[in-house]
Amino acid sequence: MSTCNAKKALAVLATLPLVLLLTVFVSPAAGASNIEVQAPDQVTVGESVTVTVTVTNAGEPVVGGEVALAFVGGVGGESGWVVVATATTDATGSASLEYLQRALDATRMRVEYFGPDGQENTEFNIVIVDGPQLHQSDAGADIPILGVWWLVVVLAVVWVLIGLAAWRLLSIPRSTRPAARLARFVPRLMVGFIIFTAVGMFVVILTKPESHANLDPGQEFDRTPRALVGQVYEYPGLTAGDLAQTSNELDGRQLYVQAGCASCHSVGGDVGAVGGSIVGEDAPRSVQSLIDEIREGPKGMPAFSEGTLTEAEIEKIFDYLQTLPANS
Amino acid sequence: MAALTTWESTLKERALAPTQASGRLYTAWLAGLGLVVAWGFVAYIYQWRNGLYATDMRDRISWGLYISAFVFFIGISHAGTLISAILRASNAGWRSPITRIAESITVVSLISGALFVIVDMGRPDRLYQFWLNGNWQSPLMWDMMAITIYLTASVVYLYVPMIPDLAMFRDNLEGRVSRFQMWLYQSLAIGWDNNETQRRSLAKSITVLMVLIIPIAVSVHTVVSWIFAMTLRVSWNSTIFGFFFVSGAIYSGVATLIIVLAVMRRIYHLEEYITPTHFKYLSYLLATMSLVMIYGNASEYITKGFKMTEEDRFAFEQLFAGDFASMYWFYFFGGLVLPALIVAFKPTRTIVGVVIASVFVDIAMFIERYFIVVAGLRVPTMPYEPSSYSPTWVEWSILASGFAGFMLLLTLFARFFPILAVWEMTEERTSDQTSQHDRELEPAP
Repeated sequence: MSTCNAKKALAVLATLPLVLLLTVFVSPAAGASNIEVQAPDQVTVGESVTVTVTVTNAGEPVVGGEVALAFVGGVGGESGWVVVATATTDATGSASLEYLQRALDATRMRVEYFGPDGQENTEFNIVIVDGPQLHQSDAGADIPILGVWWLVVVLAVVWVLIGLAAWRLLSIPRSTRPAARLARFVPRLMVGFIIFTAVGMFVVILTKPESHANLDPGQEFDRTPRALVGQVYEYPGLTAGDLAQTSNELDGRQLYVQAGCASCHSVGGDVGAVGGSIVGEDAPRSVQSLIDEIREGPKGMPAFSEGTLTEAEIEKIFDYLQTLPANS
Repeated sequence: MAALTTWESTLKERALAPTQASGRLYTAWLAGLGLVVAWGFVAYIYQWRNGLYATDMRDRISWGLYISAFVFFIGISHAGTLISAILRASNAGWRSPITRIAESITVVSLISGALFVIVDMGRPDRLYQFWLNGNWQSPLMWDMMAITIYLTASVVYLYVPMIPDLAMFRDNLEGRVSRFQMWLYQSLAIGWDNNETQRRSLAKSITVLMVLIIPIAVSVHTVVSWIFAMTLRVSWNSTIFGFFFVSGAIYSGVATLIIVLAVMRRIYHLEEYITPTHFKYLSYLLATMSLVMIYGNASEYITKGFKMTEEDRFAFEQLFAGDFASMYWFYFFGGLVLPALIVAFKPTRTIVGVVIASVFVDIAMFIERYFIVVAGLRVPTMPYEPSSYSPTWVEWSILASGFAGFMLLLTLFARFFPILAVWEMTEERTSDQTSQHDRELEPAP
């Protein structure tokens, strides 16, 4: 067995120089292929982009070549080429590469080609215009029939059955001769307690904003967008490209997030689940009124002292709030 | 019939006897438990004043003894449900002498378990905030709802079948107990005089409850397991956690029931009613559950170990060969294999043997809860050094107090309420004698 294997190995070794020789003479020189890229000049964040690549060699289309599209991306201070799409060239030597423009930072692009005639790269730029930032959900599943109302129904059935079991006890003191008055108290108390606890549970589930949001997604309290695994949805956060504002407004925006205004009044200021809207009609009338409200802390809002937010800072927040649309 | 009357009056006397319990040893027992509970209360006040910093729970290992105790107590609450509801539903006659004790374990352990959640929250007002502002998308909220429903249903289920016995207390204890106790029995017996209408109402109520309480109990421990399984932690990534927790709950519940039965049988001289047969049947249940648990362990760890991701490797090493190895192997051999062996062999399948097996099961199941919680949280989710956790005196004190409170509540229950389902036992015996009488009347084949 081992002799046989050794012979095979020798045969392979002997043919190797021949193969190498043939490769050198037969294959064309690396870099001889030509890459033509057709890409849009400008892309909006959130848009689906198609880049068409045509690879030719001495005027002839290259078939079956691998092409990859990459942009300069960075994670944790390290940056490098990140591949976003790959494809294989067809009979005409073309391949189309599709990707979703997720962020503002990828302007420098590169097409890499690996084919039978060698490897080639070409780089180009795409201008990226700010649009809604996108988030991809990493958890959660949406089963159409299975909603919160089922939970409510199940809970209701359980509570009704417990209540019924206690309700049957009401008849026990009634059938005693002579009727026991003191004895009626316990079953009544029990039924009362069960009704109170059950109703309390439903009131809590149905009325509180945090849970109400999830009972009726899409309403103003919807803090957690519901999405399927891997589904892409709009992220209404701060966009880095929103640079048309003055520096005062930019500072105001930063302060608005830093001081915690955004956590109750929402980033856009219009759909806060806890604090409610503070833009459009609800916007503060003047800098002074905003200062007064922030210092006092009306309707359960925490008060912010001079040490936390100075008047100059509140003025900047006011300037920023003025730039927010009533409905973002 | 005369024999039945004598039997019945002896039974009544045995059932009434615990209300007269006294003596130095009894007082010392109550005082000892009371002291431990009081000490736990002192520790709790200390924790309240100093915050959860008084415990060793920190950002990385944020759950410890309290949550282990919570899961353990909710687990043993399954004793009552299983024994009482399932056996009642399947009309197993042997259950009647032990149902009441089983049901009382359920209520008492649920109260103990729920208290540990409040202790773990730090500030007790968080419970109020939780109800007002909780997000029902959180498994913690589901847990709170499930436990509230379970506790309510268990209290009703303990109380309803007790009504005829409370009436028996009311009719027989006049002058033998305090006026307050008499008032209690008069109110709680709700005018029961054993007429046909009352019996029908009671039977209907019990039927609804026994059917309802089984799915509620299963859902409770499933939801408890989901608190873990729905959190992004390597060791808790399991699809069988629900099954695993429910099995573990029944397992430790049966073990606790065996221990409590043995103690009450001895103290209150119930040898005639709680017989070796009860221990034999319960030990079969215990052995079956131990096999189910061994199977669960195999299914859980072999599938994960076969794939062995980087994170799983860490979890496995610390559980099987590292910091938690002694706990795991004690749990596996001492808590799962040994009890099954004790029950498997006839010479060891005695009351003492079964009780020893049950003690091992309960210790092992507490340890299992502990390493599920703590070892699970110890696996790093980011590249940092694994944290450590060793409970402080505050945590040990409150834990001891929880167990003492559990025993104290059970003792007080036995002091004030009927621990034997006298009316069910009498009915059972009457129907047995009737069927025996019928058999005797049948012509010989």
